[in-house]
Amino acid sequence: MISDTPAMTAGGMHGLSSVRERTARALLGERPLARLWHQIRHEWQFQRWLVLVEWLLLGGAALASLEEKPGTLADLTLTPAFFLALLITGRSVRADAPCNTDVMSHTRPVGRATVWGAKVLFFTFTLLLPFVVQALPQFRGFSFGAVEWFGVVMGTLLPAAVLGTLTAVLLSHARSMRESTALGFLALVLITGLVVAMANLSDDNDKMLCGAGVAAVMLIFSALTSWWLLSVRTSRCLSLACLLLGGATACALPFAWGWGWDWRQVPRLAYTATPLSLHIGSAPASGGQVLWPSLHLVGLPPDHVASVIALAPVSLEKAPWPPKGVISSDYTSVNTTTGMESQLPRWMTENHTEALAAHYPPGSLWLGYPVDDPRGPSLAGVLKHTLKTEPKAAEKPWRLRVAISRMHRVFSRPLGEAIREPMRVASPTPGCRLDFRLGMLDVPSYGGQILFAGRLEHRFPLLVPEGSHARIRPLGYLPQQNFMAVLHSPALGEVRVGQETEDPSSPDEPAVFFSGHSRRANFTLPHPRAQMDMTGLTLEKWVAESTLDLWWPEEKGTLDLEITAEQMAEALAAENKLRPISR
Amino acid sequence: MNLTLHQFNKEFRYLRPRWLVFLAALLVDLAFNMEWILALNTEGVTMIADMLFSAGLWIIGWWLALSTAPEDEAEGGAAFVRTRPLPRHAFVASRGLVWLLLIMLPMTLEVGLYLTLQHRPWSDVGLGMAEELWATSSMAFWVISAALLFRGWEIYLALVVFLAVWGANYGRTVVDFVFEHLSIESSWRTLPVLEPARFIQAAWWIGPAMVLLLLWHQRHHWHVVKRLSAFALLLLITYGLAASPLVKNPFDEPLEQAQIQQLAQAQPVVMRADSFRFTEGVDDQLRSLLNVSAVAEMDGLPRDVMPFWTSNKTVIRQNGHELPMLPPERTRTSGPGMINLWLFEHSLSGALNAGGPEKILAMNSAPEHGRFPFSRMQIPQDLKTPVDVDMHLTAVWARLRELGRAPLQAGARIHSPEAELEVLEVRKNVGARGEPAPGQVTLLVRQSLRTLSDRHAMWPAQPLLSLHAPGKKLLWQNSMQGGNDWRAMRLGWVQMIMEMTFGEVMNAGTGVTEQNLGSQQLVWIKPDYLGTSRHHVQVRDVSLQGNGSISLGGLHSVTALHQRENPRTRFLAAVRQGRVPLADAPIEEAARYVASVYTASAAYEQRRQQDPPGQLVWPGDDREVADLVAPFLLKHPELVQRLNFVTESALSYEIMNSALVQAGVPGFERRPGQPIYRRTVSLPEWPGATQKFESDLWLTDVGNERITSAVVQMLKTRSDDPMRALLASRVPSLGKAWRDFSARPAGKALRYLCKDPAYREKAGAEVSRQYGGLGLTVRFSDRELRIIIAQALMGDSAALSWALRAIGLSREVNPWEAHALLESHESLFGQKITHRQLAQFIRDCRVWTAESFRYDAEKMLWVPQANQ
Repeated sequence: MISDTPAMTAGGMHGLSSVRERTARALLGERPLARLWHQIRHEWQFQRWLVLVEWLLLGGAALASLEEKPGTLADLTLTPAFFLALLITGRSVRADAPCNTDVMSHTRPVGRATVWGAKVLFFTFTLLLPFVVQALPQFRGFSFGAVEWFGVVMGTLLPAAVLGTLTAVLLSHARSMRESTALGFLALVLITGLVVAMANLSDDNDKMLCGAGVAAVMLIFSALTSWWLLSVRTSRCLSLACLLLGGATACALPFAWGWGWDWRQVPRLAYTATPLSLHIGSAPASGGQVLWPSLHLVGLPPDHVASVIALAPVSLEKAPWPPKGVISSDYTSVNTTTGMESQLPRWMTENHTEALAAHYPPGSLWLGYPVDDPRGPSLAGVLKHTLKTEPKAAEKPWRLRVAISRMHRVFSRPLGEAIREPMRVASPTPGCRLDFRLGMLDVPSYGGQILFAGRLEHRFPLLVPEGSHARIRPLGYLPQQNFMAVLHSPALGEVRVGQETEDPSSPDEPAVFFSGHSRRANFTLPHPRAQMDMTGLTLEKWVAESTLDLWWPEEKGTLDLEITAEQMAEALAAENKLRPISR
Repeated sequence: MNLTLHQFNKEFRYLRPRWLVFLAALLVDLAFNMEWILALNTEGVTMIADMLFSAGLWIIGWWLALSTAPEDEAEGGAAFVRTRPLPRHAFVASRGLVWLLLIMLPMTLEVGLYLTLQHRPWSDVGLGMAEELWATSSMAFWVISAALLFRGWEIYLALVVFLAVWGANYGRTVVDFVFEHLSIESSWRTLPVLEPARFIQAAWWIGPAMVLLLLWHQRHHWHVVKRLSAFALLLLITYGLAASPLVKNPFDEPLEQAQIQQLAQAQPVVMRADSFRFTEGVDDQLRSLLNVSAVAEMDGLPRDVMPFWTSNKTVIRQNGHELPMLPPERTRTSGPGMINLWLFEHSLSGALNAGGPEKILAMNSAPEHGRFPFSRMQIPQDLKTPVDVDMHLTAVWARLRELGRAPLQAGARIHSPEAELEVLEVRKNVGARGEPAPGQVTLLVRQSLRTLSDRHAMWPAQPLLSLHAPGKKLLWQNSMQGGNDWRAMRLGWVQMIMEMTFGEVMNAGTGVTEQNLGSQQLVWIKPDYLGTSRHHVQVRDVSLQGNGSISLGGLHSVTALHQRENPRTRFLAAVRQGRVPLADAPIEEAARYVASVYTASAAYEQRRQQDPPGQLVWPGDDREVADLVAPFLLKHPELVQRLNFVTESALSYEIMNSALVQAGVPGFERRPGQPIYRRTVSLPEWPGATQKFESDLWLTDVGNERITSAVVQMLKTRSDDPMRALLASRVPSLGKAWRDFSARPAGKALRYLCKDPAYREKAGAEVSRQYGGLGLTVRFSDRELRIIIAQALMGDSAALSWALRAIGLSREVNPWEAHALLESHESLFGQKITHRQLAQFIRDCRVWTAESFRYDAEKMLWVPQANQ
């Protein structure tokens, strides 16, 4: 085995130029760091222009990621940057490929380990770290803490490191340019397959994600080890064995991680802050939230709101609860003819607006936009629908499941300020962000409206747990993020609730170790048309006198309340006595 | 042996294994297109398979064409080739033979074999093979040059570049980016496989540049990176050229351009000022704008020939100044490729109506036949002053041709020289996604369409499948397409399978039931592109606010709280809780209070909800609110002119009435129901004679300005003289009635005009003219229905039949249509009906025919026959 330390002495170097003398002196000394630095400089000299182009492309990609719709610019920067990084890696590895007899890697005085180490450091600082840095700006404003930022860094670093080390180790085995090309294509196919597989890992499967994270680390380690074995120990067999073993284990790991440590799992959140109970009949004197005219929830603290997940009979058999197709939920709508259930993009109701009313002057006129069915089905309607599938529903006990949220004011600025510059608001829980700006001050339709163009982004690194508690999944799926825009005009005694675009979220953008989706979140606020027409109030004056607040519901947990059959009958009877609500 | 052939032999020996791979790929491609493997289906990822197989074949073909023997590659191809006794032209020719014999010929034979196996005429087989030869030969310059430009492993890099730019759509991304920034409109909207002629032409144009690149490289020896970059650039240029307006799609050639030119010169285009509409919109930059649409008419057109209008340039002037226009929407382009899209909104039944009084009517074309969007403009400051419009129009002409008919049953077939159709499945009461959908019919059909150049069935317009009910003479022309898949787009006859869902088929009134569904018909209609004509039109005095255009004012905010409570009581409570000023408050303070009342009124607009139509959900009225506001109008009568009559007219009239009652103006009293002015006055000029006045304040034909002025005067003077003067002025002059009628035909106005012989003739001609321009459909705007009614009132029984059919197909409970239908009954039969009787009227119209009535010419009414 050739020693790592150069054997030649200064006396052996005859007739060299001054530059070479200095180089030789540096090489001939036993200073590993100096040799390392020399090799890194050599790598830089060899590839500096390509690296500069790479940095330029990554800079462009970083800028593109900050745009509302990255689109074409992202395609034109990130894709070439990806290929260029592979090219830089390939050229560097090929220049000192241990198996290639055309290069003199075995006899260079700088030492094989130093060459290997320098290349690893060179790739790390010129390719890997800039790639990680370019990915960071797009995650600003999501209320990330240290844990989440760690997840972002690892989520970006691991796939890139996997690609880089695999490319390096495969190309280091090439003995000729032809083999390099073939192995390069093989690397590309493998890498593409890996990336697609990792990007399509369901972010609902925590164990698989954890396994994938460990697999990525294992793959990096085995590829580095394999490369080291080949470059330094010149043992091709050992290198291949290490690579194959590591690769096979890494590929199987995500699927076999069932027994492993699931650090992403977080406990479900049950609401226990205050005791809640149901009141049947007309509104209780102590107040409470109206769920139905004859059913009230008592005991909610201020700013807290209950959303109905389901009101359904409990079956004595061990059938899953809640059953499919409940029409009592605030989160879904059911076509009573076809039975098809669809998720409601907007699940916040008047109850959420009522919770805010205490923060604004009493007697204010609250204005909003029409909703299709503000009242929802009556208790009688719920029972009638349930009887179609559960004929004995009236005789069974019922259960009411509610989700409790607390309304947080996350933004409060004079309207004039919100109009002048783009705004960014983070949700109370990490991972969600609303960016909005003035779209149009005077949309002429419906007497005039202000349109704010907004975008609700959700991004989260999948290698770390999402929050301290699992998000509520009414009926098995995550509800769409809702928020409420409120415009207060104290001079007019009016409070306006904005209307938000009901735009469904885009499908998850496939990304390795990240979940991300976004949707348009435009919202409009009506002008005080009557005041403008009758009193000459100008738009500018109204803007100057108004304040824009954004309220966001923070999940506080779920709660089940049992209702006996007798109580249900009592509630139905009470509903009948109260003024029937026509539709 | 000829040196070229000798070199070809040598190449062939080396390329034989690769050629076998290529032949295998061809066989697999043929098997795929013949559906011997992976049959057409509507599930999963469709259409991608066809593109992948095609792309794979082209990649293998290129790989084969670029492969050269190793001995020809040494030292970059220089050493051995230079010393061989083989002239360069022979070497190049042998490469050409490789392309021709090993790739072009097999691909051409594949097309021939496919068309033969499909039992197509020999002429189609020959044409298909010739077209494939033409398409593949367009790559000759490219592959022969590339084989010499890239040697050894470099060919794989070249293939990667080709795949990235061409196959992976990266090229399209770049081209779109460049076009957008240079403001070039792309002429190509679809996939390369749907418009191959563009790409073939572009490949021919740019191919010689590859030869130049090769010659340059041979002189200056470029590094592989430079060569690949140049190659990629040429590919991008080809892509861009194909997408640009510089390349024409030969399938866009018109069939009867000369005749269309003659027609265009013979018939002037008429655009009436009252047909213009300006509707609010928002562009993708969130700028507010007005969309300008209008109806362009040409008289005497055959029913099966349809022009589709776009504007090349629109200039709109107001008071002599040009108003700023906006560029057209990017998604809206002109050209014959848009015919299918335009036909979605226009009745196809013109192709089927052979004559006779009873027309086939389309069930689901859009109302307002003949209306086209033309341009967009910024919203001007002055919306009241009329504008002058100057338009340079382009008309794309199409003729609707029936390809064939078949019964609506599984297994039914339609066969024509250019297209074939087979119904695989008929699903009743099933929607597009397989969900239960009462009344809908979903078909699974298989189509074969000819894509050869002399008669292309898919371009520029595809055939449209419609359902026809001969019993009721109805046509369902627009279907919702579900899953679909296609094959063999490249091979001359494309095979397609698709799901099509037709809505409202088995609805009440159509005469189609589950039992008789099989006796209905499928009709396949092919739009043929006839040609394009250009026109110049100028229209003066176009109102920016007429014809359903933008309306000023209007509130749209409802209450955000107390939504479950009685909105009527909540409204009153909100008014009482508001900041009520003192009785002697200045006018501005009073105005603020009145404005807050209106804001609260809009918030609680639910109090006016009717369900069923005509019956209030929340009984009551706004009298108490009006009584609270009225004192401020007594103090400041000018406030009346600030009241909102656009969306709160009922409240405004209630307030005015209350103010007049509180002011003690004679004739106004508090009574149940609508406020009414009722007064009997003696006539001084005729002693003993009296004149009785009775009217409500809501005089729709007078105008709010005159009403409010009168009310202000009455409040100031405490006299009702202004009201009587207003009522006296209501009898319109014939001239005014004629002006209003031509813009808004209505039965009552028609009868008024027909009392005068001169206006009778004019009115009749105008009604006939507008009636003739209506689309053959049952879905109308209110205005179009009034035109049909007016024609019926002239004694036209066919028009009466049309009206009855359209009304009979209305949805029984639809408050938005209720007003128009109530008006129709009153106009036709001279009797008012209530909302409660409306559903029965609709049901009766499904049974009634024109023969059920006789025409009373004197009263201009239709009267039921004695036995009805």
